[in-house]
Amino acid sequence: MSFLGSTLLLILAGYSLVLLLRVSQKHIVADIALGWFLGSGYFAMASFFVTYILHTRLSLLSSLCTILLPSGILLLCFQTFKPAMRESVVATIGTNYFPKTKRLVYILLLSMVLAVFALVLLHGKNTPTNTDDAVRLRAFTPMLVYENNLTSKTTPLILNNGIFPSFVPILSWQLAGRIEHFHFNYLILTNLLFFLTAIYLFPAIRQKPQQGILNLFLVLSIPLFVYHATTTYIDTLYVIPFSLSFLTMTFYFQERNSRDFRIFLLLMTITCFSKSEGEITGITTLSVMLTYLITKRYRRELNLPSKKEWLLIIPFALYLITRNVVFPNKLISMLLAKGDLSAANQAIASSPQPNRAKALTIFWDSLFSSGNFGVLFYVLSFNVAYYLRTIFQSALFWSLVVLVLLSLEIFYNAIFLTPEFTIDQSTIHRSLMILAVSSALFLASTWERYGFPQSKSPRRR
Amino acid sequence: MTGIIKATSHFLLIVFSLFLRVKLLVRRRLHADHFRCILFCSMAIMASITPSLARTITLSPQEVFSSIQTNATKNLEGSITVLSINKGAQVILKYSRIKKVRLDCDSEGLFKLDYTIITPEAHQIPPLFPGQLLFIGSASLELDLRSCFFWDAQSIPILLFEGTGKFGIKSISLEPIEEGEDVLAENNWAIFLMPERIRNTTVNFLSPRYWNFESHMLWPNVLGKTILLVSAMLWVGSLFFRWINSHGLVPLFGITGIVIYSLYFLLILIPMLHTQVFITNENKIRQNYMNPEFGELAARARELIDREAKVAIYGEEADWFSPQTLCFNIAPTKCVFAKPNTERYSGISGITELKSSEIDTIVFFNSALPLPEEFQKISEINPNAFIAQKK
Repeated sequence: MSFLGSTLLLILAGYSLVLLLRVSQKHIVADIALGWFLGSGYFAMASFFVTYILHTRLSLLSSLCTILLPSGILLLCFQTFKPAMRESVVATIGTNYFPKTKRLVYILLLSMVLAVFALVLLHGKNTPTNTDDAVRLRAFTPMLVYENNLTSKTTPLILNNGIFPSFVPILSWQLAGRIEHFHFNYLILTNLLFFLTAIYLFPAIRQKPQQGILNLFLVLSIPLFVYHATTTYIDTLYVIPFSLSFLTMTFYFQERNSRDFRIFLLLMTITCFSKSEGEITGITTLSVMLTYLITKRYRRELNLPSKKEWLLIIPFALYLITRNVVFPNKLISMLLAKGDLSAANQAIASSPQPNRAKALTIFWDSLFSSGNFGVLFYVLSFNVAYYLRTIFQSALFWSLVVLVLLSLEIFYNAIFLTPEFTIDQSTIHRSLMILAVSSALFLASTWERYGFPQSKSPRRR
Repeated sequence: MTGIIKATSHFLLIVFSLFLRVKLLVRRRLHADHFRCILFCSMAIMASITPSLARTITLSPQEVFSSIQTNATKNLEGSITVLSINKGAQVILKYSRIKKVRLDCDSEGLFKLDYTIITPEAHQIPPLFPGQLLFIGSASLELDLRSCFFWDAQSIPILLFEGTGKFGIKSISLEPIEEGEDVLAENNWAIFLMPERIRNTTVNFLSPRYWNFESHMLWPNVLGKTILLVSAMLWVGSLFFRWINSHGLVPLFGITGIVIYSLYFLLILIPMLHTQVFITNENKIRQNYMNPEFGELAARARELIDREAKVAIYGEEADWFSPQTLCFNIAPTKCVFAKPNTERYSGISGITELKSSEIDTIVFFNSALPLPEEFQKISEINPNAFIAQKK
């Protein structure tokens, strides 16, 4: 019950933020799904500042004050937001949730999605935290946070794990008055539930229900991702906000709706909250977005974000700076290395040549042969080649740039920085999960736009 | 089960190829002749899946006793061969030319059972053994040797137990390899359909999936390259033949390939899933850990140990998983890992530190360290897994 209570509180805070920040997509359920991410991200960030910047002990009272603050502000301005909420209810009823053509195909895909999700829920809720590393990163750091055990020894663990998995679970424990291991499982599953809801509804709201179903199907066809969602590992907590942000970014590139830009910024901020890698991928994707906007501005195109919208980057920047002041991100430190890349070069130089060759083989095998990602990368590579010309001429080009950069980052890390972890396969497959899920969403966007299930291309006469 | 899947896949392949033939090459509607063809094929295939009555050899109690070679203590008590297992044991059944082993057993302990076959090449393969969890009480086990890597007519089965206690074998039935059976084909097919298992490494990677183990052909490669080939043919074909709509068919084949792999993944995933709907959290720990003996110990530790206790885990030196997870299960109770010849112990990630004199509770799991004299057992699963407190 305490977990249900904490989930509702987080959603309440998040939905309030959705309305206050004007990122509502005029659909109640989609807004609730987005609200879960914003609410839990907000709680994590606020709790981080309370503990590490204000040096205040976390308690049930401080958590409740934090979580109810956005709702309090919304209540004060309720009359302003009431029409938007009414509009959302109407639009929710009016949305088309199912494609009008080739329904049998989509029914088959949807049946598979429901079957896989049901199994994930069942197995995930029954997992007895049987990770072989229950410590360091996973469900242990929120216990340290709950106990206010924030020392020079525990802080690196907590921050390298990320503030999302470390701070969000404590609300349910504070409500229950005790630590309950299984709430961490439930957090992973809840995150997955809202992710699946979002990747289905976000396209459906844009009159693309077929893309929504393809998103669900392709994401749940990734075996390692499906299995990870049933464990207490936090890789899904890192992959999910990034992928959702990537999807929103793809919509922004296509439609240039400023609301999508704001959602992208917020979700990319939340990506930074899980694992050390979150900050790196957040910075990378933001750089691509900046480059995109600069090219559009250079071409004097309209519908670019206003200065007010750029204010939403403040939490992103603020978190990155303060987090690295409290305890530097080891990956960023390694890359920056006092202004030069000598540390990275040293890592490259010290890694023996034969290991790097073997690591390259395992990297390739992981993508195509291991079965951890099914046959997704075979299908993706052919479809990218097939639609390459049209992708290059369309907004999907920039999404492809993000995927390419992501691949290069993972490649660089796997082959040059930590080849030993690649060879013993302890991290390489999990590192590629973020690429797999984002690629699945990219593939669905490509198919929706150019391929299946379009009507037949006009015959040449 | 294997036969049904095989036959169904053959059937679907025939139907699909017929459909494609008609639609793409002949461009006629399906009519009565085709339906008769499909009906005939399906009847022929259904006949092939009727399981043949396999000959089984049931061993007498004396034969069971004499055919087992083990490093555990072995006794014949009436008609039951009883193995006294201490932490773990290997049990070899001195029979070859076997497909399946059926064991009726009565276990007085909690065991993790893996099985494989003895072969010179066995040391080259990763320990991706099939197996199951054994709880206290009677059970009927079916061990399918066909899914073991390198299984052939000369293979001798070996059972690998982890746990402590008595394991009684009431009867053994062996299903032998029939004359003329294609052992290699059966081995390849069984490995292809081998269910996934939760191991310590599963969070890092799932088991490799072989389409043909003998030639080391991996299933994702076979399916992926088939999709690439068909898609490439369609693409090239669309350049020459106007009626081939590659825009529609390329994604369709991509989705078909992913559907096939997803269905396959579901097939191998479902047997390993914990699908109990109504189960308490403590029973999740008891029943769903990879090792049931460990799960029982962790569950009892959570029930019995005080929040204010200072706990030391006495574990096996090579066992990294169990002490960490035991401490995690009783967190935030102060918990450390006992090491020989040290006065100061530390816990998960070195965060908790306690002197050996401060310890008031011990959780003992397969440790070589002796239990200090001032401690007495308060809950015992077996002599290698118990909880003790200071007197």
